[in-house]
Amino acid sequence: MAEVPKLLAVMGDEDTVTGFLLAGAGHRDARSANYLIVDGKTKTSAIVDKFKELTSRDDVGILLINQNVAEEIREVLNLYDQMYPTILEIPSKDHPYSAEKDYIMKRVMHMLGK
Amino acid sequence: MSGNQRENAFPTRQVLQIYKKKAKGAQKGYDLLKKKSDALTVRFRALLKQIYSTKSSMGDEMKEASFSLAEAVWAADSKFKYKLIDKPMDARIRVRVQNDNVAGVRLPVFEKMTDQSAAAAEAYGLARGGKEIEKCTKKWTTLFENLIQLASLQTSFLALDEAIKVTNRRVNALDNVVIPRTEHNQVH
Repeated sequence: MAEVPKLLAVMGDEDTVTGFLLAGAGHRDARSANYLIVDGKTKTSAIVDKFKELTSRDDVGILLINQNVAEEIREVLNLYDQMYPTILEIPSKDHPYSAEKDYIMKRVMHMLGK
Repeated sequence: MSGNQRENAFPTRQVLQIYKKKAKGAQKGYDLLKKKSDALTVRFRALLKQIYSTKSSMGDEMKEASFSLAEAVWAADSKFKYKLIDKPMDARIRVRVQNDNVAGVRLPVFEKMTDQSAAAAEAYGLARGGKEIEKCTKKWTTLFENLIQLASLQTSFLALDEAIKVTNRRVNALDNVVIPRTEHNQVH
């Protein structure tokens, strides 16, 4: 298993991405950036493309995604079966977290029998 | 399928001994696997609860962090966000995948790695709001540390899930096929 440290990545609203960059996780090189700001004008296809790009890189360990953005690409997410990067669905300030929609929590709650 | 199948064997004492040994071996293998499966399941359930409670409380943390950001922007400069995005970037925070060992299963966990050599205090060319920005930065950094831990829980959960499935398949295979077969042969 490679010991090279992997990047974090984020796809979310402006606040979330700003916080991400402030914390020092942002990365941009000749290839591309490890973040995508999604707002009301962002096309679903652009979100899907970025998701595919970030998950096909082998230097990304964790992909954070605001839940409302995850909802837009739910079908693609449901088919995701890779170990890395780990997809972490997080709430945004405008969209509170919903455990029912989270793909991980659906499995967790199923196991717990809730 | 099952019970009525026999392996072809001549009913001599020697052969009976061989089958007795086989049955014992199979039983031992079964017990070991069952033990492993149980250990994994215990760990698995603990992980489930942790993931559930951590994710449920994450919403509040995000709200606080967002609020802190709004304060910083208000105190500093409305263009602060754009200045942030405009800068060239080399990620100071990364994660490394480590392997834990649970009942013979390698579970991945993320370890946060911070590049100290990179510039820590950014100026952003702002006249005011430095204190708020610093406070905001701290809040988001802590939030991301928690998120990294949460990601570790998730990855371990998925790895365990897979390991349990595999182990249970093997246990069932031993349980339903090998043992009855050899037992049946002993009777015969």
